[in-house]
Amino acid sequence: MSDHHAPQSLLSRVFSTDHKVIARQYLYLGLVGLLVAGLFALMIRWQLAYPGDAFPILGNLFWGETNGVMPPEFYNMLFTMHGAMMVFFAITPIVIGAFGNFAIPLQLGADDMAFPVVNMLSFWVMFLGAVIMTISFFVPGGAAGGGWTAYPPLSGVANYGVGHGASLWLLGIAFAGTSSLLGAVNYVVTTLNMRCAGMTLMRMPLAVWGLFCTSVLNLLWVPVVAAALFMMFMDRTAGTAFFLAGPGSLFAEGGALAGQSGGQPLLFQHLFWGFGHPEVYILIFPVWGLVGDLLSTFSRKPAFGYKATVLSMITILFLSQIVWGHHMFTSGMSPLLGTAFTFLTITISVPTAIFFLNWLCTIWRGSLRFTPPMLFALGVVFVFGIGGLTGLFLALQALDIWLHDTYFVVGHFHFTLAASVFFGTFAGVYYWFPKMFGKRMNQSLGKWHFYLSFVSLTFVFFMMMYIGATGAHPRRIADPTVYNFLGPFQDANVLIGWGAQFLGVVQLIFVWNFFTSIRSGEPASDNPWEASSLEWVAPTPPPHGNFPVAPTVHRGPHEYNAPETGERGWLTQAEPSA
Amino acid sequence: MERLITINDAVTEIDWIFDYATILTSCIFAVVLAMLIGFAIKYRERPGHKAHYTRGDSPAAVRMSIVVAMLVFFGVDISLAYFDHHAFLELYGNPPSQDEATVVDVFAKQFEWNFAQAGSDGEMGTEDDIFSINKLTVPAGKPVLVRMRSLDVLHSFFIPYTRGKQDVLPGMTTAFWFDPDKTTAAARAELDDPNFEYEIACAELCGLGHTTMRGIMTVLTPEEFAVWEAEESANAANFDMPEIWWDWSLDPADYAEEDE
Ligand SMILES: [Cu+2]
Ligand SMILES: [Cu+2]
Repeated sequence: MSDHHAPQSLLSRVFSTDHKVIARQYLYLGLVGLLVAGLFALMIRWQLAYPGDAFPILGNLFWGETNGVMPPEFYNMLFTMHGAMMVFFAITPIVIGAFGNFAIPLQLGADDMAFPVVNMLSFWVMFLGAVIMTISFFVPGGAAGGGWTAYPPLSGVANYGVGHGASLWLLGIAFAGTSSLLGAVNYVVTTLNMRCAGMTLMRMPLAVWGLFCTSVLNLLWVPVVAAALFMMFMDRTAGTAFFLAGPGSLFAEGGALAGQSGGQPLLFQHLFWGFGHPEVYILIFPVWGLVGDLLSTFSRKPAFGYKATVLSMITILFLSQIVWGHHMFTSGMSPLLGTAFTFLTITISVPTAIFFLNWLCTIWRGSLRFTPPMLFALGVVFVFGIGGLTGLFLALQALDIWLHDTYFVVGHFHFTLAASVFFGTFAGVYYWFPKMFGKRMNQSLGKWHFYLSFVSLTFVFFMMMYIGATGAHPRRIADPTVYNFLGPFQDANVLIGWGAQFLGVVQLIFVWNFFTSIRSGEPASDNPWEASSLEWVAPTPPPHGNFPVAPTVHRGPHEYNAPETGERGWLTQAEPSA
Repeated sequence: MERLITINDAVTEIDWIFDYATILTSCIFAVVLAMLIGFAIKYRERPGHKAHYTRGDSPAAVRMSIVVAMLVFFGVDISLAYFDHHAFLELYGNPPSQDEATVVDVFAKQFEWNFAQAGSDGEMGTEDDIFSINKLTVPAGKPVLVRMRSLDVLHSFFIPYTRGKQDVLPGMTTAFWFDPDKTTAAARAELDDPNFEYEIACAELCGLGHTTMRGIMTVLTPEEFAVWEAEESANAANFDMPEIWWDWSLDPADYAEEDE
């Protein structure tokens, strides 16, 4: 490894092929994305709390002619970019990019990814995507405003009010997708080929299982959505009509839709959700895996039913690909198909129930250490419990025809996706920070960060479900006071607004903790959590090449308090038993 | 906060399913929460307490998993799906025929709901057809059949009091139907709110004016409706309708197929 001690040029440090450097780059990109998309959320909630009032700061700067009131096109941009950036430039780079890059080689005892150059490329392709997304705000007409789902024809042709930003948006997402594909190839090959001696598939930490299943889904479905987005890009720029409505007299010369024909808007929804539902699991599998590992490590007990958990994950991997129609019960799709999709969707609750059972049985009779990563992992169990159970409501065809496109859906998927991944992100950062940066984060600040986030986030998303189910509060409207039937719920919008601002402010605790710990945190030992997976065997922080001597694995990933561990109660996977 | 009133008793079945699902899932969540909190307190790390070593792959653990899986599948999934499917067939399984229903053609466009009705002669596409923007008037007591097309982007026809909605697409006809049993006057009396109106919302993002794409539905008694219809039909020629709509007025044959 001597060559790595030579002073490196700035260029080779920026364009590094070291998986740990790439992991940090992904982490920074993702945290910036989270910050920006989070600020958009706060602006959305402010607007909904005080529609018709002058918007603080921005109102004076930009919206003079409306007396500072946010124009609806800006509101549409906000929620479109909030969703798209959260999914593609915050969650994806953090839980897949950063955690995958950091954990997979280290936890498998490998010296790096299988294809380090491809790995570097995958980060920079995503970075380019993020740059394109940023530029899209500054083109005439502004950023995309057709929703993160980008349904055509609204998003598919320029003349319906969604400007050129939408074309750039499509490009940006295509770059993010390409990055995911490159990453997925790397993760799959690394997991299958780069495991150290003794690391059988069934001895891999659950986090690696989660990332592996994520990568398989990415390989299968990113090409589908990439093709759909490319087709839409052609519709917008080259005059094709893949997703623009079919023939009819309206399309004849002089008709309002002349020039568009032969296509089918519904086709896009099938392609989009064909990817879109697996995407939920693409984002959540790494978190599920990590939570399994964390609950075990901080309960000082093996993950309960490891094999059943892995099997459940693989079952969900399959099922997740044949349920997309539950997003389309009101779309005009055949009701017969709807019935089939209802049935397929609710069956996902069976493997999911096994997951929960195993999590709960893992902490049962354990010896629980409430460190920040453990608190956030328990938080994931709580919020995903709410998200999963409310998912049942939306799987039901007749009930969904009522709840679809209301805030019940928004609240539901924010519990499932946003809250779970949000907590999963912090669980992972607090957990791996010592190994990543060689410093400890402040533990009590971490706990405060958890408790305050937990309370405000649960309140905000629960209230969303409430106004959706009780008041039929529609999504994506800039001003709830337009509808009389929403009158009684405006107070709730104000409460949600303040809850959201509070949640936003609480994150400053994390930002402060993160940066002060990097600068002046107390130095971390090699294994501060007394965990047994292999990343804790490596030096801190691990050098290029990771392990001075390639480790040999002797046992499963969480054999805490096994008889062979003796008085100490734990052995790393690499230590031979006494 | 009380939930929105319903336009007839049949659709309260949706509210019932919502409540049933809420109770069922709340029970499950209560168990999960009790275990989370209970275990967190009981098994916290403290001197003299050691974790119990088990991998949870014993035959007993496997049996427990199977029991839980069965309970979830049959107790939760199947029961929910059963009631939901029942409601689905009840509300959406049986579209009314054109003869027995009040037929309304909807042309949705950015950002308005255009309604067309046959008028006194009962024939679509004749001189006395009634057109209106964002205002729909229907009689109580017989089903309303709404046939919809979009002139531009996707919209979604949403009347919260029917507990249902249906997307409106260009290039494709979709339909929605409901029984307006409760007149606007009856709803006002029930709510003790003289200003109450049945509101129609657009539930699918359709662009800059999506928020304001709002309609009002007035439900009259059959007698009041007959008077209203005669009056509107007499004035119908005053409405200057874009020719393109005539071209595109729905061919009943289109819909007949779906009707079977
Ligand atoms: Cu889905
Ligand atoms: Cu709309």
